[in-house]
Amino acid sequence: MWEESLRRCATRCRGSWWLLVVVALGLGCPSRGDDDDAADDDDSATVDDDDAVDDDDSGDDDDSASALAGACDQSMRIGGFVVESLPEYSVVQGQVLDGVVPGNVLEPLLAEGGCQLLRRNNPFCDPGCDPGFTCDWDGSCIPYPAALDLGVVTVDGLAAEVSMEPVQPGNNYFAVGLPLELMLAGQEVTLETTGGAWDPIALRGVGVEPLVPADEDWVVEEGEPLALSWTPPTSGAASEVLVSLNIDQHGVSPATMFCILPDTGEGEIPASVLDGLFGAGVSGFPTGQLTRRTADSLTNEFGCVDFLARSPRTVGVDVVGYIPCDAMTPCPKGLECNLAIGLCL
Amino acid sequence: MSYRLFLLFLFALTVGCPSSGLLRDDDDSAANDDDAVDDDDAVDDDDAVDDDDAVDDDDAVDDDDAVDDDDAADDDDAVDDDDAVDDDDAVDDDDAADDDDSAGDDDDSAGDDDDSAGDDDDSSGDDDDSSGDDDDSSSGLVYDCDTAPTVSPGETPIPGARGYHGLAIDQGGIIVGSDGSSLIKSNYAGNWNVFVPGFGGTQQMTYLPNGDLAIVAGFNVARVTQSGGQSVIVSSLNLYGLILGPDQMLYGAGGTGIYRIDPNTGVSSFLFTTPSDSPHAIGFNEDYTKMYVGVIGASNLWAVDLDASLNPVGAATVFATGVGSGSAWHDGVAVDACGNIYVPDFWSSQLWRITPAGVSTVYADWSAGVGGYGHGAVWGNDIGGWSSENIYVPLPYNGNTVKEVEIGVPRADWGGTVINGP
Repeated sequence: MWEESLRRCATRCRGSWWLLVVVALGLGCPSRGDDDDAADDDDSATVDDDDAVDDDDSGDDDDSASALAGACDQSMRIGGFVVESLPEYSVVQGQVLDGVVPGNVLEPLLAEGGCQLLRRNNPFCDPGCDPGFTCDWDGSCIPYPAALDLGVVTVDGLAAEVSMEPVQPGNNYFAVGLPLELMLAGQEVTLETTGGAWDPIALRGVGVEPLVPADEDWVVEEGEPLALSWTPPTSGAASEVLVSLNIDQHGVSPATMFCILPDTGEGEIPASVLDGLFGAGVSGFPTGQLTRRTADSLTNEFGCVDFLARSPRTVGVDVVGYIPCDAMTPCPKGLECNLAIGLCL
Repeated sequence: MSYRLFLLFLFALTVGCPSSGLLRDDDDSAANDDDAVDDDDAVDDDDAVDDDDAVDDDDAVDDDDAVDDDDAADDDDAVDDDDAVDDDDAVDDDDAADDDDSAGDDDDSAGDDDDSAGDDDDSSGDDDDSSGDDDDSSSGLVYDCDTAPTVSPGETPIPGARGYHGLAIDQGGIIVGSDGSSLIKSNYAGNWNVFVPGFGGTQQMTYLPNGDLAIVAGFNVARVTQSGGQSVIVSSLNLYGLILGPDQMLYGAGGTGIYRIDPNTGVSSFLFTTPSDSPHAIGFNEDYTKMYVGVIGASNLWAVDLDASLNPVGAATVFATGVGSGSAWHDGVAVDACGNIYVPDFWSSQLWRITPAGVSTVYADWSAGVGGYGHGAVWGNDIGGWSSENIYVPLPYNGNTVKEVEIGVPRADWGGTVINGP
């Protein structure tokens, strides 16, 4: 606890560094017993710690990662905040509305093995909705949910201190120009709001290290599950891995899927989910995404708000049996082009 | 040591280090301060003194970071600025004075430039470039359509730029597009920065007259202000194509038809549709008397005549067939000064040129590789290196990068004199 306070002070009390030194000297070194720090410990204490990362003792732990509430269900989600480390840059961003946008809610079709197959149903209104309104499922126009001013949003526990005010119009929050290695693996990340439309809220996460997929391409075959592998995290098992497939750059397929898997370094997408996904149509060149993340959320009378600390990576996807063709683009040897559907069969 | 200096030394010893950072700069690596002295952290400050971080500031003094600033003084960064003083960076500027950069022509009003590549459009005197005629006002801007190429002269990757399904180039020579996650701004030289994160993959986009962006994002047409603010212009139209008309109204295609949208009020009106095919991408002809419509599901290019108010006259008809192959998928429509129309088709993975007579031929073939397909077509504007004789295409199957495709004919609204044209 004292260590955590000192750590926070080290980032916030820049002009009072000498006080920090005095306090640190007065307190001396912390004991080796039960700790509340964000980093993992390997002590042999039988009493569990409350840090963000799992320890190696034999008992169950109550570390903060396990206490994270997870991401919002999409049917309740009204927005959230994200700390994201991409291969070329890192950002913090978010926006929270005062209601759910109907068009963002997908219909669940199938759930198996931590994976979900969903279908997009486009709400349709005739005549179209006036400005400031959006179409609801019953064909009526409803007011478009308004973006909320949540005051100043601060995110601590990153390589850079982030304090964001809402950008107008739209009350969206973002911070750019941040260090590429923004997250410190295993480090607790906290998000707090002050002022604004709501009472202060606090959400938590844990810094994740970049995920490294084991394969550059996934090969998907009808009727077969897809085995996935990646380099497991070195900082403990605080994170989970979100798996998604983008098979529809042209927007013709109504289906989408995602899986939330333990961050153990391996997982599987069931054949039933894949068959349902690709059976609904493929357009463009499919890609897959593995995202290491932690997810926390809270729900109030408006809906659910989540906070993700994540690191996504993209891989190519080869779908056996899905080879686009036309009269001018021949198929590989042994296959013939079905011009009616534009596929090699 | 003088008496005064000694007193100052004693005072410093007594007070010790300052307890507040308000009057001294910090050297922390990340957080920004708002004190009067500049810091060197990664986040920009708004104080009166310039910083050297990677993000531009808006103070009165120029900085040397990679992103251009809008202050009154000139900078030496790699991106051109629009201030009144000429700069010496590698990219051409549009200020009133002539520049001496080595890359690209300038469009200033005074004096000739000495760059080595490309012509200048200044009003007086010839330039000293090594290639091509100049188009200064003494000779006029002229293009002879009889000299138009029949295939694309070439292609060049644009480093730094990102694009998914849409691109837009502003009046400062900056291109914007999505990398699938964020909106990225880049100049022609490859310097880039994150403009707005969290936007995801977007469809087509265009700049509005006030400098805001209009973007098809999901079911919405969104407005993104120059500071990154966002609002919904109109919802639930389910569009893909989006262009700005000469009446400063937005025109969108997708779903069930072509719509006109007032970007200020969000009021939309249905204009027409393509009866047997699904509209997807649109473009005006050179004098705004016709609108072309690329579609999905068929290799037809449609057209409708327009009146002076840009309202359709009669129903849309098939203007050209064989634009692509099979169940074609037209992801862009671009029209040149000679009346030729350029349409990228996904299924053939080719850029098609349709003459004013409606004859379709392949202008660029991208079918040899997976990543070469250009998912859109946006003309350059002759600012900052983006040539008005080239189109710029996003490459969603090649890491959301961008390439320049040489057309060799100026864009339809280029403004010069066309001979042997439509």
